Amino acid sequence: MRLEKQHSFTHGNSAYSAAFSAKSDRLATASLDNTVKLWSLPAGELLATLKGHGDGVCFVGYLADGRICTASMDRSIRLWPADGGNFTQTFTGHQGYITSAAVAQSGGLIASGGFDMTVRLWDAGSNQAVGELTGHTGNVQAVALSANGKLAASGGDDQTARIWNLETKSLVKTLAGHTRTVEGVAFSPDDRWLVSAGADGSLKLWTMTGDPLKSLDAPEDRYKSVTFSPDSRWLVGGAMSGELHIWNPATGELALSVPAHKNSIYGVTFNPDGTLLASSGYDRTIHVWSVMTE
Amino acid sequence: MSAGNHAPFCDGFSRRSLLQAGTLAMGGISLPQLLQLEAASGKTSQKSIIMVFLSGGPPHQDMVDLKMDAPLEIRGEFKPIHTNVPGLEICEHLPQLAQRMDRLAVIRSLVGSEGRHAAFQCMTGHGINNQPPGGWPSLGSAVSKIQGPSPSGMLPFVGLSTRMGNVPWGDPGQPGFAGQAHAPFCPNAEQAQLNLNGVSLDQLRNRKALLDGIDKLQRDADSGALEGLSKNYQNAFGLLTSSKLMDALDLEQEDPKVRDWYGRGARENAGYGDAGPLMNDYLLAARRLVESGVRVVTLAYGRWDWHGRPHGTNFENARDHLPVFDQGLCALLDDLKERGMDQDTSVVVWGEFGRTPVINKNGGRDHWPQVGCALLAGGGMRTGQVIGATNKLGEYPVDRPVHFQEIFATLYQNIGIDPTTATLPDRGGRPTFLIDPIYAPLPELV
Repeated sequence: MRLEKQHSFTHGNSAYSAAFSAKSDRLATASLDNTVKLWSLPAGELLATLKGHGDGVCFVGYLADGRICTASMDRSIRLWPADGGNFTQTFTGHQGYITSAAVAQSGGLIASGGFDMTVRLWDAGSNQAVGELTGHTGNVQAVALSANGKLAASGGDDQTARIWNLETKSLVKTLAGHTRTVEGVAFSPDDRWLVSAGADGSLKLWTMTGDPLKSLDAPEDRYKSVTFSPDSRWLVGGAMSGELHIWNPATGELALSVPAHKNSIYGVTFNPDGTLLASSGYDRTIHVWSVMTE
Repeated sequence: MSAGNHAPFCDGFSRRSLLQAGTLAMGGISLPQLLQLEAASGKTSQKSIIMVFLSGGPPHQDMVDLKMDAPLEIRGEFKPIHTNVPGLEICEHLPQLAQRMDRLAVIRSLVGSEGRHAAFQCMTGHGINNQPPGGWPSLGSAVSKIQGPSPSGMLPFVGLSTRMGNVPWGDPGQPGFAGQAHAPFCPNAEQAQLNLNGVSLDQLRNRKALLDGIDKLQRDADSGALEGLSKNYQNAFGLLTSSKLMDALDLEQEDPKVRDWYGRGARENAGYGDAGPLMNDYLLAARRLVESGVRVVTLAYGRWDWHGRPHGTNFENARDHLPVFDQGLCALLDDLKERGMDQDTSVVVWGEFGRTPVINKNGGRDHWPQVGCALLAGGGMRTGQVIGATNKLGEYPVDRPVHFQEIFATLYQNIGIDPTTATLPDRGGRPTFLIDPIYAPLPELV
């Protein structure tokens, strides 16, 4: 496993999240400067700047139909055309800062978590709020949606990760064991694992129903963001040290550590075919890496 | 000389366009009026002051007063490093400053904060309540009133702060009872957009465009439109089109290597947009301005109000701000020294208060008016020392509390104004000391 830096994009303030388009010809980057920028790939040119949020944008993702979804600390979620321009839809309802969001791989489901200790569900197709998942006893810091569309996961300041049934909108299981905030959660695309990453420096692997499997051999660090590669073969953790750590989740072994940013890594994401990785840092920079595996 | 007359001259060149060129962000007074008042003043001085206001309240315990004996939930993430002053340690993220601490005085026991999110107290030394009639003048306005322009004829007081979401942070220093004529010139504030027939001050960055605009205005003026106007209008026009002020503000004239040395900075507002930018170019502009004869320059720098997530933890924000601050402040200090200006230029760096000892649940520190910190340099002061100390947890002073007004007394003395005798009449005509007479310049420094 090797990473080679291809691009470095900057925002006027800290970068929180990035997302590749379905064809990997665009990268959307979200920042504390209240904007989202669209960049062309592989050329790396700025195509558009999406303005409209009133506070930092903590999440950006592409819906299955190509539209761009953003979540902001202004307590709103907005949808934008794929090529930029003005937002076309807004979802509101969170009673505190939104900290995290996720979009389903198919359909129009969006999940968001925030300082009101809830995970909320939204449907981009019907433009409706479709669920509110309550139970966390602290701020929600991370959310994820499973590839099979059946489960959501969340993590938060109550030091727990939680798995939710999307059909019944109910709690499946509360995952305890972290000793500090759960900063990141992610499902493997093959619907095999859930990972929770914490400020306590640990990454824990669970079954999809919340049974503990193992703690990964993690370098001494604190983790802010986590994601699986599309083939579920690699697990990437973005740390507060600015390092990227990459594991083989099947064996739990650390495969690679790369000094990537000068500040905490707030977001890590792969492109759909796993050949590119984007890391978003509090150092106002988004790096795009080529991923080379044997 | 009203700014409201729109009557055009007979050649179509309107008084309004001249007044647009001459009306600065001074609360309504026009530049010609200022020049009249300046002409009446005969006092001169070569000393100057640069005030860098760290909007939001910088964390004293993460910068210059680290508490390594405190519990983790208080001492935080950062480690101290040695400086070139034996026994003095500061934050690891200020490595360049650490090598220059012999040229700085650190105040670790700043007290008297009114606890408001505003630049007012840092600009005047006073709280906002119970002001004398007309209001307290800021340091720059008082200096302007007492000393007038420099012998070079430059404006005495310039505020480089931008307009920002939290308006009180952008306060460049109010004139108070010194009078509107002594308000600062604010080239970065929206209402002070100099509009030279469509060429805005922002276009100072493009010198050629500016000169093209001035040339057109000059040609219009040469046509005779200025004939009959008072001398001061002509002086105002001359000042605005003169090389000195424009040159000082035009950073395109600076060697690019010097700009890189300072670090330039980000033009976007820091934090989530309610404060000014982390703009090292403004530090460079401050040097250029005092070099050209401006007596007092103030500027708001960055956003230091780090309450924590979701807008980043205190430490993430510190890792974002401190390296830029380290580079910019050190470049300013070195630049002043290399130009032989450091003994005549006092530099003060501070914010409105310190921050809470205990780190909150969102990884931030909240407001702590009980104690804060300040950095002082230049001005002939005795540097290479720490004044004051806080307790083990950084909660309160345990040795030599230093009031805001003691620092003001020191700055006034440095610039040649005796704070123990200097008074200005308030709006009711009552002679008023600039600072409370119980405070004196810091004997440790002067």
